[in-house]
Amino acid sequence: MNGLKFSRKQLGIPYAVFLIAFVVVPLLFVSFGLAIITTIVSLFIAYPVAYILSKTKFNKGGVLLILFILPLWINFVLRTAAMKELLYFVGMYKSNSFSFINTLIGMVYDYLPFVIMPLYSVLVKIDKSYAEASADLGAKPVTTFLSVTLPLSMPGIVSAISMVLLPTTTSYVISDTLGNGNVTIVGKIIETQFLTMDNWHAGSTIALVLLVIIFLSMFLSGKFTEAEDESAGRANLW
Amino acid sequence: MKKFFALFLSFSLLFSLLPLFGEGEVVELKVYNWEDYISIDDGSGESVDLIKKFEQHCKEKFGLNVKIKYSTFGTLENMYNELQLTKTKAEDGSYTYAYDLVCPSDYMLQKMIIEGMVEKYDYTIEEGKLGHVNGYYDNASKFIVDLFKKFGWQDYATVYMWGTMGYVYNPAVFEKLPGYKKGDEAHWDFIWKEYAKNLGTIKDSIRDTYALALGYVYRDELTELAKSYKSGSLTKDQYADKLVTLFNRADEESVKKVEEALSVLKENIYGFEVDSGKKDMATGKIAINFAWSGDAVYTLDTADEDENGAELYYAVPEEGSNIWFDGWVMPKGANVPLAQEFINFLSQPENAKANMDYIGYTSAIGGEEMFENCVENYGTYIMVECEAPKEGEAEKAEEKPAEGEEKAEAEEEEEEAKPFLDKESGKYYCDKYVGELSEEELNKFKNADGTYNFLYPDYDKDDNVTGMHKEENITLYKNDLNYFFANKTTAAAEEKKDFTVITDVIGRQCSAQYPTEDIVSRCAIMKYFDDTEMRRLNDMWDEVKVSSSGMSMVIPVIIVVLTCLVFAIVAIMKRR
Repeated sequence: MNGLKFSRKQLGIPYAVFLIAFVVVPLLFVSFGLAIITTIVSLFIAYPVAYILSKTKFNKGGVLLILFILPLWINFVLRTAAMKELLYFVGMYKSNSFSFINTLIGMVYDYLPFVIMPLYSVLVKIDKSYAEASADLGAKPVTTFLSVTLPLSMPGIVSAISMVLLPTTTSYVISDTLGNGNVTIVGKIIETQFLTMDNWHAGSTIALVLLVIIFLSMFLSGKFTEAEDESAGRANLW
Repeated sequence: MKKFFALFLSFSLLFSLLPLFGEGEVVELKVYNWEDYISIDDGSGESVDLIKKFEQHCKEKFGLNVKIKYSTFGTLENMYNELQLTKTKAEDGSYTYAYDLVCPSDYMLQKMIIEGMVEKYDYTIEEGKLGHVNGYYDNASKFIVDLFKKFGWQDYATVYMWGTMGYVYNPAVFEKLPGYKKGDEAHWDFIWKEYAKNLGTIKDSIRDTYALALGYVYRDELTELAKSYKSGSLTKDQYADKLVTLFNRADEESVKKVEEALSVLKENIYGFEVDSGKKDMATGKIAINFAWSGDAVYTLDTADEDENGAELYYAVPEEGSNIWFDGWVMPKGANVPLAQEFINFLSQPENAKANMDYIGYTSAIGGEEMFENCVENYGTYIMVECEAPKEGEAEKAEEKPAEGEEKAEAEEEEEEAKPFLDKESGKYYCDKYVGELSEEELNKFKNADGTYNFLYPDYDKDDNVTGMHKEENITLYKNDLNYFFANKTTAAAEEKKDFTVITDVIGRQCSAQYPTEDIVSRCAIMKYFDDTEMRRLNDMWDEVKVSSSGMSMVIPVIIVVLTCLVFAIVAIMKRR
């Protein structure tokens, strides 16, 4: 980014183009990158958790599940502030190059329940007899998981992604608090354009670009769920 | 269903009639102020609820039932938008705003004046009538009033709070660092220094951070200006004018330089903050914070109250800085007399004092009473030997022919001046302000090198002396505040008084709240930028903020994910 230092006058381009090319696009890279990494990390954490929770052996009467959902009842701003203290205690604020990692940790922490829930609700509905049949036919547990359980839980994964990817793109409170303002994502710029720069036109332009992207991802996630086996049924969010 | 609806409607109509049964006509005063910017009752029993007090005041003095509708805003732009959204158009095409009294800061105040949003003050209201605003002009510091006259804002605004901008810092941290020289903190490049890496925060707001970077970029020019002012080749007014133009530069070149300075700074600081800087300073997470003086006082106080808190200091850059103010304006269509009465009320020294004690910012009100408050808060109090209390003195005081309140006051004073008995030596001590002692008395504590050895009093919560401790080699400073406190009334009424606080620390709350004339003469007012300038600034700010440190990590991930996505889509399409 630092290499690209043209002033708008030199380029002679309209303001909206300038805004999109030099502000929105780099911002979207950071925001979506952050969101994608968050989603992947949370999926890797949440899938085993949801898998274990779906076995009644561990999750008697849904108590464990409640324990995972419990933090959601506290406001996420408070949780984020608490997370900051914790990270400071661990020594994650020794340098401001950790800002990005800190933001990532905060995002994963805050959105983990939203990934666990849809995965859990899908996994719990999968008929045990599928796995038994697969074992009877001589498949190893790993093969059973990869070719039976995982495809069957795909709707849960898709709905988990759609629950995390887009909100994390714009949840700038976390990046502001944990990133010390060093990580700027697209939601933050919209906020400043509206609230401190008094430039509603620019704010709306950026918001519009975001809206287009949301429609695009809606279309894509729709494609995914269509393509999956309909018999597993669409995962209800809760 | 219809019946129920009708019933509901009639009931709601009934409720709207309720005020008629109240105690006569209620006048509403809609005040729109910054958050936490007036003294309210916080339950501690020490703070005064000024809003209730004003309603009481109106009832007693003018027999008016006034109800203050008090709302707050967090940013100036928020306030401006709210005003614009709630305005109503009158038949003649002029606008009326939904508030009677608003408290914007410097550049927004100028914007509102330029855009013709505000009502002129009515100075013709006679004394004793509602809205005779001279309470402000009698009490406000001459310095502030003159400053406003110079820019021609006195017709539209009165100053509520004011202050400077500078660095709050923690000397204990820096003394250990190699490369740090004492006095570095009073220069703009302090936060840019290499040893300050990851120790400082700056404001996440464009106007304040722009001022900071301007000061840094033009620090050499500023030093030159200060030199020529000291040598006498520039008069005070010329110097002030030059400072104002310098601190309000927004041409392409300056903006570009600022952008470079900020992208360097971005790598050197701990982060940007809006409100967390105060807390982070007090808890020791950071060691420099670029702050407004009022916030600085708050930060210093918080750190002092905390047992593990650091001893923080405040410094205004020597090259020159910003002076800011928050002023009361009345938007068009306001209830002028009542709004003026409120300003008048807030300008009474006792109310200004209550406000200052509660919010920590510096009131624009000067004069003797405010100065006494300043001495009480910041002057050096020491323990001096005094006579043992005579028995039966209390009875004597009662015998004195005193009436009602005076009597109570006398008793209170008696209680305060109760000498403290030092059990070791068996002597009695009283706490006294150093400025009240005569030269001879003071000389008793003086060392050969001009420093003093003092006995300091220890206070409990209620300001009673509970003990004392000795400290050696204390230097006393004279903080000359005549420029601020000596206002018209005091000069005319009595012989000239000397408003000099004698204190043993420089750079703490006292200096933050009341900068010396020397500092103030180096400070310039922030001016309103027009739309093109503002847009230039905003674009610069966007680019500074966007050049995020996470970029390099994000790009490979995005590429990998995008390729995966493309493969997945292709695979799904093929399967069909």
